[in-house]
Amino acid sequence: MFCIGAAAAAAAATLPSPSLSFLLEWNGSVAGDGSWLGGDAHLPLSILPLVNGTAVSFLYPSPSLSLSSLCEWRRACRDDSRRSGNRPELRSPLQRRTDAVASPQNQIPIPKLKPAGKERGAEEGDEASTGNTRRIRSGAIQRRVISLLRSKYFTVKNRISVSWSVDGVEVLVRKFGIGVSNMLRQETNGEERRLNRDEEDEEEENDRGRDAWERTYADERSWESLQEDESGLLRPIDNKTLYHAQYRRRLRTATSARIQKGLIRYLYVVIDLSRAATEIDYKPNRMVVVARQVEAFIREFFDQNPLSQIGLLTLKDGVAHCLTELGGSPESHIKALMGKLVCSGDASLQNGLDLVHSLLNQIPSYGHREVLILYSALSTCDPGDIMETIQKCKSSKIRCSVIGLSAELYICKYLCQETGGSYSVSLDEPHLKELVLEHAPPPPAIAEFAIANLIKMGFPQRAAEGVISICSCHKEAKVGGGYTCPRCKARVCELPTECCICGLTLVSSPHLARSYHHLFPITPFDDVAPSVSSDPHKVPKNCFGCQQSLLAPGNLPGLSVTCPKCKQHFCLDCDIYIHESLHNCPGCESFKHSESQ
Amino acid sequence: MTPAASKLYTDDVSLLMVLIDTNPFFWNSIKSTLSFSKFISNVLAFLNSILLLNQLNQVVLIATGYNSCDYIFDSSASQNQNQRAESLLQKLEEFVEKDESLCREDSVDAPGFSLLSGSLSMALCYIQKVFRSGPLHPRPRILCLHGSPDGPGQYVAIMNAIFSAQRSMVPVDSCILGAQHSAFLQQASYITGGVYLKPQLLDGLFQYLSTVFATDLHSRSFLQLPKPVGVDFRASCFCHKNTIDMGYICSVCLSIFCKHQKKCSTCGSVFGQSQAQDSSTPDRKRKTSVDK
Ligand SMILES: [Zn+2]
Ligand SMILES: [Zn+2]
Ligand SMILES: [Zn+2]
Ligand SMILES: [Zn+2]
Ligand SMILES: [Zn+2]
Ligand SMILES: [Zn+2]
Repeated sequence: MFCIGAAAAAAAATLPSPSLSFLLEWNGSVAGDGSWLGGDAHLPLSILPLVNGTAVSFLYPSPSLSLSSLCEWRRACRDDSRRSGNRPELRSPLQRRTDAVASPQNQIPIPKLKPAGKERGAEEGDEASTGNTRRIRSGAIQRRVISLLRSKYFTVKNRISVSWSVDGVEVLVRKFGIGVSNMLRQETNGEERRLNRDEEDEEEENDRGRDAWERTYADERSWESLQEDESGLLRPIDNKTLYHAQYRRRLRTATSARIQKGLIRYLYVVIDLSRAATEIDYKPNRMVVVARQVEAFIREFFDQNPLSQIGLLTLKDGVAHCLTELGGSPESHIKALMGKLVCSGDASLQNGLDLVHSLLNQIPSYGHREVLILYSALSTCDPGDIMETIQKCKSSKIRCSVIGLSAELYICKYLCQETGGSYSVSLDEPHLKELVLEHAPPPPAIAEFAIANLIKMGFPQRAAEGVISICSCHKEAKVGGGYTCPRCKARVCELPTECCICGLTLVSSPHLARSYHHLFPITPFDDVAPSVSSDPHKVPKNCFGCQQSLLAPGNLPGLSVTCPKCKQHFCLDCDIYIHESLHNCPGCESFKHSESQ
Repeated sequence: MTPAASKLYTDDVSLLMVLIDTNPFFWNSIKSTLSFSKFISNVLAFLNSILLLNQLNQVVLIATGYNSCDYIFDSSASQNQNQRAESLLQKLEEFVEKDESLCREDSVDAPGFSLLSGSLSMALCYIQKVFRSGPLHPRPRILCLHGSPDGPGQYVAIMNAIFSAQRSMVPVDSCILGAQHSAFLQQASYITGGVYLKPQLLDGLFQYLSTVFATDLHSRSFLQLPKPVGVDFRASCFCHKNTIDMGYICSVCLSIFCKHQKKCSTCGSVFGQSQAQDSSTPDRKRKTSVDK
């Protein structure tokens, strides 16, 4: 007999959030008699069953119903479907079990079930019919519940307690305030010990089948945004205030450390196309995944660093190739990269760094020199002493960052430490994406790294659509578009560029303006003290920005923030939007007196 | 919004944020061609036609004043369908009076610009609220009925608003009522993919509004809408707020100056060398695209 009582009622009282939403996978994972769920627990659980990997919109209707009845219902469904081969019909579990809290409004709605997988259903059925139900996949279920608990609580850092009982002996494992993974380790260890007694080979089988699809659900964590309300129904979780608190913390750290940013960057992206890039631990292989991420990175990079330039380098066959020279056009880089995706040979970090060093030595002194290396290999095949090369890069003030795809390498770590870059190793594709995009926003400018300078630039006007003129860059007659150099009046096709007649750097002012919010950050808004907000005369009824009512349900004063400059009140959503996307205070912008600053 | 409407939002349901310029100095200057009252009656007819085009359409009117900005009308909040115009006009009158009372003596002599950055920011906040309301919402757009000259001091704020609109894919349409083109709104419409129009004859304003700006975003692709007659991408310098077409950029913070400076007034960087590296040597090879 195997029972799991998750977050037992006693423990639930001490939990930060008393209601625990549960997500269970029903298809092919439920023990026959349901005893593992703890027959009499009146747990505030919501159950969102997944059928064949798909969440069906079936919500466990009431917290007062015991879980075992649900489990029994599931078994009934399965039996029925086996007998008739039909879509399972719901038979009320309440009629079967006497200990279930039976009340007419607790009817479980009929979920739209997809027919269960053939082999799986049959296999289970056999076990059920032999009466061997108690031992069915208990370990698998337990692990599944743990993984669900984990995916739910891992981010929230909630305290949970889990009690298991095996063969009637209850083992209560209660851990408060420790990381879930820690607790998990202890529990799975214990579990394995116990399970050795009734080991079954199907167990493993089941385990393997679980991982692939379940991980995708664990990744999406769609259930995390659900919460149970008073009537036991699921609704979107109200973590607005939580989000807001997190955002405030972010804002505070961001503004307290107001640093100069290196806005003009010269960055070489070095892509490892050695044999190691053909590994298929990333799907379809590392090379394709890296190329995809580099493409996204290049676009994001030019969006955030309009005056910066990128060049692409590849490492293969022990040498470094220059794929594209430094340039400001995302499309040309992406085109060049996609045309050259072949891997072979070894990677040489030293050759790559040497090439970058020689190329970056030519750039103007005001630019920030950077290298971003996407390294798949676990070794480097160098012609000389790489330490010398690293020192050379250090003295040339080239900031080297490495993102590893396989495992941490000392030489990469050393390189990043020496040159002030960052080193990280990605776990999977989403993580890699995150790591790559971290390099898109301008890094803090290290004063000695680049000399401040004034650069002369022109802001060309865009010509009217439909005008025909000859451009100076391609020497072709073109219809429409185009920009006119303010100094020599030559026509160019794209911005940013340099005028090929007079050499003036041409940018469009919106390009520059994209980074101005770094220069003029708006002050963080202040929380409105509860004493003030309880006075209806002091706080306006509506948010100044979006007109949302600032009153909480029941005409009570809700949460709001106020701009220290213009003293207008805003709702929490506007607060986040204003600081993270808009970068303007609508209140300050709406009053003339604040114009003067 | 009533739940009874069951949110049958198709792609042709619009949320139209109309920003009207109520700068008294501007309206005084074009009294002879288009009076404010005539303008308002045109706008009222336009708003009514938008609401009649689709039952679920929503219209919000924000006044861009000389000293302040405020919400004037919200079709989703007004209960009384029959007295829409009355409540709108009353609110507008209150706003204009309040706006005037905020006026300071010394600022009157300037030609005067209105606070477009403020009303744009408010409109964007409102649109975010609509986005938050759920997966089904009307498709928002902003229409600026603007006449006052650009306020150079608002440059950064307006650009911030434009980029935020671009990110949330909200087009900013502009209809210029004044004599001069507005570089800010040209850029706003160009960047966000909206329509920029400067009507030739203000007498037929309603015609322009209803033919160009009344169509929903989905139907726009089937129409031949006015193409931009060039976009003014000039910037304004940080030191004098002049509009310039050539200038100096601080390499650390990208501030724009019209003259050579010793020190950046924005970020405090001291500029070491002379402008030898201003990348204006005509004879260098284009391909290297780097200095030295
Ligand atoms: Zn060309
Ligand atoms: Zn030129
Ligand atoms: Zn708000
Ligand atoms: Zn403010
Ligand atoms: Zn100046
Ligand atoms: Zn500066």
